[in-house]
Amino acid sequence: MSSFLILLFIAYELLESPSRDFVSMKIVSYKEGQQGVSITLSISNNSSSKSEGVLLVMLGYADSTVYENSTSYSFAGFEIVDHSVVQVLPREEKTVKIDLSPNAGAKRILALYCLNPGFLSEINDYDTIVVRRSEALWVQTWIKS
Amino acid sequence: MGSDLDKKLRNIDTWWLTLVFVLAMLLRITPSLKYGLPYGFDIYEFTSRVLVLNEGKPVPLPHGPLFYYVHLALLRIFGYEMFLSILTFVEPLVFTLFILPPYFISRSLKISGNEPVYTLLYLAVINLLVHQIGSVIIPEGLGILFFGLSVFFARKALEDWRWIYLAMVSGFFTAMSHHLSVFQLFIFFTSLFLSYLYYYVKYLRERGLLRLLVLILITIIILLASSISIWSLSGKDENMLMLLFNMAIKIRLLPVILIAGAIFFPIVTVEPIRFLKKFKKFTFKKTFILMPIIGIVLPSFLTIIFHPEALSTILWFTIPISLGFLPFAIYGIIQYCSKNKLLDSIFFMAPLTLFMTEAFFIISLENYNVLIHRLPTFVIYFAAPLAGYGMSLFSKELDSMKKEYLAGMIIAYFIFSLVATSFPKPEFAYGVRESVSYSELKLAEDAYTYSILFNAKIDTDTRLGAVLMFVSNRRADWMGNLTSWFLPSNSWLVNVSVSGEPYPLENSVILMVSNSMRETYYGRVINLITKPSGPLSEKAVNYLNNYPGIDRLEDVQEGALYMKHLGKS
Repeated sequence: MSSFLILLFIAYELLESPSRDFVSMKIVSYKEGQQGVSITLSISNNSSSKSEGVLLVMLGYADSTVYENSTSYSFAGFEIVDHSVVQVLPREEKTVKIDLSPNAGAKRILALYCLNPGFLSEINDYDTIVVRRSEALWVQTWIKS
Repeated sequence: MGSDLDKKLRNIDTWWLTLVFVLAMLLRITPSLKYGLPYGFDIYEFTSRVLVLNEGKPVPLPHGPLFYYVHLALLRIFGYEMFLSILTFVEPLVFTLFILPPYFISRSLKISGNEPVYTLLYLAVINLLVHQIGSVIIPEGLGILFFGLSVFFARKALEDWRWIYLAMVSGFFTAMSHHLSVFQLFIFFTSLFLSYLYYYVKYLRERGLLRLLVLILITIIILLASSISIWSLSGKDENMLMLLFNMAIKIRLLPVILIAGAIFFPIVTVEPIRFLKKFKKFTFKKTFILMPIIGIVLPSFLTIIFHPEALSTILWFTIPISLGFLPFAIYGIIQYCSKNKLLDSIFFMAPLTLFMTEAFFIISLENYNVLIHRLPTFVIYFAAPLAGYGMSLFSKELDSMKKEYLAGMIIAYFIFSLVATSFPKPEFAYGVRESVSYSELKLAEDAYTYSILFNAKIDTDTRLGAVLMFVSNRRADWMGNLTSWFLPSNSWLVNVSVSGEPYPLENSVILMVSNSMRETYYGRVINLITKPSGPLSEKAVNYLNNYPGIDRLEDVQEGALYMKHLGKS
């Protein structure tokens, strides 16, 4: 009986294995000039299935805050300035270039890649955008000038 | 007919042994199959020592040279890429072997009713607290293997003194493999020498025993000489044997304590064994009732007083061991001592008594009590043959089928709960997550790339720092202080995890943060065991996410990279 329980335990442990698949996003380059800001992002799909999601580009103002807990992220005081659906094939690394014109009040630029393609239609309150942690990736940079 | 029956019984035994050994292997390889990567702490040994040896540079080898040079050979044979796979899969298999010496000890016990397969079952499933059961690829594994072999050869020497020569050879290899294992082996032989000397002087002036005493003394001298010879290879404050020595010479009363100990220790060991002989009918029930008090109530009480935050960890480990292992071990000890010759009983009782005395001594030392964490390993490992014997007797003493079924289920549950402690979640393992995920591996690779791009240092904990050094082939400029076990670390992550109060980040520092460090996930910023650390609070994470000028360079879901925006004050 001990052996049987141990084998069951091993089977449970193996079935509970964390997925080795993941998606990542990073800032590849950032330029700031008279014409505005230019950011290059790289979204990498380290899995065997296609990844499709919505990429939101947001500007954060002086009172903008990001809050995170174990289940979700919430972004308050941000303005969505661009959004697009981005598909990344298995094992592909896709580069996305974002150009933004100067905006006097903006303090930071935040890119949020939500792995739920229908995410935009689910947003109820644009003042505070809440997204599930398991389906979100985000990066940000602060504007110098 | 008789020989046919014997043959069939032998076949059944062989099947049981094979099954238990396969279980042991499966358990040890489960984490490797589950995560596909070695554990963070273990990578540390390779990046900080083996890879340096590979570069031909001098490096302290605190555990003993054998472990490092065996891995250097593997690295050279299989290459850097394959090395990770070797560490992941081959080593858990190799270190399944260390369960064999106590099994052979159990087989060598000449007592009726003993089933050595129970000893093997215990060692297959019990968490020896050497990290997780599947990741004993660190030096302890090799040290414990040779420690076990030395004990086995010493046990055989009670029957034929020539076996002691093999114990000497095995002892030498223990010294070459792991500092604490050789220290425990030294304690083991010293306890035998003192107790048998007392036994010789008081009870049995026999030539054979005198010869054994002389040979044990020579073994102790060889162990000391081997250990001292490898001290020159160790870092100044990394070798625990040297630490204990330095600590000991600072205690003024030590010579008095040692002399008093040498006189009284054999008396308090040998005489109680004679007393135990009166308890032939001491029932398992009484032992079982006593154990939760000693094994659960007392440690929990002390933990609540001194380290309440560690209570879940203490309960997670002590409940299964106190209910599943200790009662059988104590029952086995009592029954073994009551039914065997004094000479045989001393072999187990003397080292166990000295191990326990050592545990109380170490825990009383203010700056060195952290060394206690390895001692239960040796106590459990050494006591396993007697626990197996206790379980054998227990199963044989049941007088009805109903009781046998019930006991079978209870034992199965105990064994299962012992297995379960081998895979603790961080909340039960003092916040330590030993596995590494593929996304964290990518985070480490990208942190290294960014650090070259921005000419920046990388601040992360010991767990991910070791991964970082591995993926960068030791080229990354990591702020983690691994050169000393006792100098305080000074990095943003460590300081903030201890104080809970974030403060401005330095320029040109990339922070590699993982969920495994965060309070929300019951994690902690892993530091060396001798240094302080704590979890990364929500306040610190909010600071990183919102303090003007701190960029979030990358997100891999399991973790993120932060860096102060270049040019910002």
